[in-house]
Amino acid sequence: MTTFKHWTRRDFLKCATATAAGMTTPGAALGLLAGLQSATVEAATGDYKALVCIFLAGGNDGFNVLIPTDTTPYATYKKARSGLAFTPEQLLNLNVTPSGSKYAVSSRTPELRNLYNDGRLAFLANVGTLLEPTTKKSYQAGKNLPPQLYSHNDQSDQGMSTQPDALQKVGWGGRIADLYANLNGTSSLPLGVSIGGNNLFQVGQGSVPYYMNTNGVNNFQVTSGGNTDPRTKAFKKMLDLSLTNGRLMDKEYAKAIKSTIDLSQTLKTALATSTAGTGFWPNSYIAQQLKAVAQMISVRQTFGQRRQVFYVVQGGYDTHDDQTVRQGNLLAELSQAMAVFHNAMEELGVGNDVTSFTLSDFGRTLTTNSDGTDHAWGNVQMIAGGSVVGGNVYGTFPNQTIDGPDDAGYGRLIPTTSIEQYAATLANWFGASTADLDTIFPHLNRFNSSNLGFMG
Amino acid sequence: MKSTHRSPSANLLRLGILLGALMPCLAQAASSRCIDPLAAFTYPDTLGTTVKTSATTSVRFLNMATFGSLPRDTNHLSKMTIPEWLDEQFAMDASCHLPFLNQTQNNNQRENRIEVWFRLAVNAPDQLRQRVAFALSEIFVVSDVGSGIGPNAITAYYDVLVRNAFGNFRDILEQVTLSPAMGKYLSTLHNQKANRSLGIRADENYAREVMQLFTIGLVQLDGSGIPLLQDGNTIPTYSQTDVENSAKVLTGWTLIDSVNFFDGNEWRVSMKPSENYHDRTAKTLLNNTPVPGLGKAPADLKILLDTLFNHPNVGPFISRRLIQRLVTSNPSPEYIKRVADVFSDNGSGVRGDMKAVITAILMDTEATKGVSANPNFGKLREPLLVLTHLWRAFSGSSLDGTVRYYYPESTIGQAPLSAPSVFNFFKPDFSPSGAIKDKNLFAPEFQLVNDANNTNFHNELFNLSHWKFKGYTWANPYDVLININSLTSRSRNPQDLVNYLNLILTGNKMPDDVKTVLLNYLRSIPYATNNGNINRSVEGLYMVLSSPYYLIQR
Repeated sequence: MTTFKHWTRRDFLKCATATAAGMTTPGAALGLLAGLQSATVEAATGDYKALVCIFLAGGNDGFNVLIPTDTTPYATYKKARSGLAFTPEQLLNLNVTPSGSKYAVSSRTPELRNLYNDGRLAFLANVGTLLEPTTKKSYQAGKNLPPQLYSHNDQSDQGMSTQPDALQKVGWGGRIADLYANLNGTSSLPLGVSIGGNNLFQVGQGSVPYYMNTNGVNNFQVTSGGNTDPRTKAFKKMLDLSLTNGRLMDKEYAKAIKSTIDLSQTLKTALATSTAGTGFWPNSYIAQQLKAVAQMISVRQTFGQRRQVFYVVQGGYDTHDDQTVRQGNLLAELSQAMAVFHNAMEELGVGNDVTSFTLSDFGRTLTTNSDGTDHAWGNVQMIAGGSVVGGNVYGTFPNQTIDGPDDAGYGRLIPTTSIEQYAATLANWFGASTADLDTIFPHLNRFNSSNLGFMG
Repeated sequence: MKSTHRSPSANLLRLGILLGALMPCLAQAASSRCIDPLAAFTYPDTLGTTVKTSATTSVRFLNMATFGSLPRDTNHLSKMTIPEWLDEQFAMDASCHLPFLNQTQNNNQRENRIEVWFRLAVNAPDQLRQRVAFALSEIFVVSDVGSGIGPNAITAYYDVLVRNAFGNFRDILEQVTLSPAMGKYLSTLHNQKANRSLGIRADENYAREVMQLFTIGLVQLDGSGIPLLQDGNTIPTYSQTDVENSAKVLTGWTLIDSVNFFDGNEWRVSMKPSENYHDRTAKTLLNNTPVPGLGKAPADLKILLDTLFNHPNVGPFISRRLIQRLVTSNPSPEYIKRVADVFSDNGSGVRGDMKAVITAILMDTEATKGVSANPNFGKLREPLLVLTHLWRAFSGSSLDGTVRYYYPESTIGQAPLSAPSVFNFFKPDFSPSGAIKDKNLFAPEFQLVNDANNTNFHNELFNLSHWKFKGYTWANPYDVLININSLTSRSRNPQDLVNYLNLILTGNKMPDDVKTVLLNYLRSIPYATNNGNINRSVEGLYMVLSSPYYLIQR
């Protein structure tokens, strides 16, 4: 049983903000309070869990990450993908799935093969934004489809928020943070930490992530003389006046700067004792971001963090041109980075407590526009970590026949699993109860399963 | 395709200079002439002594219409009316960037591209044109991040915006579409018709983004930019089929010196059609606009661009974006409508007249009256505009008159034509978590506000104001150094210093209580000893630059 954390004024304000933003009646606010408290009670003492969202920006072509190699599906794949299809020599075979299906990954990603065969990596096939279970027939009838299919910003926002219809969306990572921030007690560090920059995924009703660079945290120069320095005092006083008397944007800007200053020194001190394990971290941006995540996780106890959600990003997946080379290079970097990260997690003793998972704007057309692909819909995502029931492909692998039953046209596959089901499975592992899941994911109850089984 | 750039040679440089000089002849008549890159900048004479526009109005206006107010320009404007100033600006020849880049030692080096951009943003006399071009570059986004597009291709693209900033939107749309840089960025370059035996079809990249981001947007709008509803739902402007058919229209374009369609090295001149690769089937575009079969690439393109240009969404869609870039994040629907109406008709029956649109944006009562016309008026200054303002207000330059600040992305988190994606550095509908979002308001520039960026940006402001001024012993003369004489001369009496900074940077927007805090701090710094005049100056400068009352422009 956990020691019950007293509510600080800060926590109450956070909640009050959430209430003002999302709810109109005092009853609803009380409901949220009750939810928060029950979440606190459910968590075991001293446990730790972290989710790491790896966003593959631009729309990763997941159907060239995971390739079916049984005779018939491979023939279909080869036909659909024409010039982009991998030959058997360009593939690394994966262990046969428990149900007997054969798959492979690109020879550029040996580390993914190893993680998979080691049982620490799973694939989820044909997952995408959905409002309800959708068939080719209902797609053609235009029935209850996510708005603005195939548009980058809209589809990535929908994947990160699962609120396609909300005017002001908040992310599902942020909604998780809203619910569990109190598990971290009075920590000054937000539950969400982004190394990949601003993202909707981590923004909740009351939660804003902390943003840092791959090179750690710098001192905020003007206040480096300490709180008694006249310069610091004048600067802070001017900010405070903007906070109290300024107009809306003045206040919000001052608030952001104040929060940055408050955390920079604390974090800098804490990170001085951090470690990212003994593995070799490549120089790629994605590896360096995951290294920063590892370092933050290594000092989690300094902040009393028991739940964390991280965000990293790897850009460049919008491969309208030159896809084989560009995506190949990106996946090679990703594969190396994920392997060194999860090995570091083992080394830090949190191998089973940290789960990484990929998201992307959308999948890409199976057909090609000469040497690239265009925006599509259903995609393949990866989940990695010691608690993942790996070595398996979850969801339903689609029929890749062009104009076949799963094709919306040109090989735009209609998802058979919703992002909400994917996210709920992760949130459930993170500690969300069934009731919490329905709060966090508005369309979840329209689908037959809220747990896809890839988390142990 | 990979972009291949020849390593710079004397021949290429000569060709570049020649092309720079020929540009006015090659481009359409609507584009403006370029100034001589070897001549000194000439600023218009300030005539008369009668004040027609007050100092605070001038500062405020110039912060919207230029890369930042400075005493020389404020004084100049104050002796004119704003319409007179606009006419003067409209009449100026263009400071085109490529001819200046060609004068550097390597015209295909990114450092030089960035230096020329800063040099012209800070010093060019045609400020309104430069500022509008920058705004357009944040709407019609081309970026060198992850795209492999070379610096001279990027700069030639920027010049399309510079030279057409006061032209017609239809010409901008066409020249943007046919620019090799945009062609490479969004895949029109080397886009080819479907080929069943090769299993390929037309690339949809530009077809989608030209509609979604450059002209009509995703949903049908009324004249004030508010989405139209049908049974409570928004109405899409185009379908996936429209994207696919527009993609076919956009096939068959290559570099002007290409022989076999896939080759070519000339990135500074518009693409040319290559009919063998153009899809000649009949197509139907949005709103059932027919494109007859057997049409050539330019004829098909004309139908597509005319269709988009004449779509009723373009006025409100583009007007709102331009208002956000120049004036305010949350224009009222009425403000958008007034500008959109001018977009539809400049008063002489011309649609898309940019001069008329810019005038309507800057002369609107909401722009001139600010918060008294709209309580949500204002916008966060983006980092690049803070730097240009600092260097304009305090004559920032490197030793040889250049403005060498090579890697702004690593300090202030933003570099010109280096957005992370076609969605720019920030999106028009970005809303930071908190009170702004709760009120359903937007603040695009806040997308760059986060802990990591905040620290870097404020530390750089600290660095630039404290250690990058002329006369500082340890300053590197090849860095951009400011001249703080206007501050040191006022630092004996901190009240003068505070008043001056408040006027020239914020247009007197700092409230008295904030000024008092600053005044007391500056007074606490001894004047007579230890370079006190300098200390007071740089402290005061940093405190104003980093204050929300400066950074939020209204």
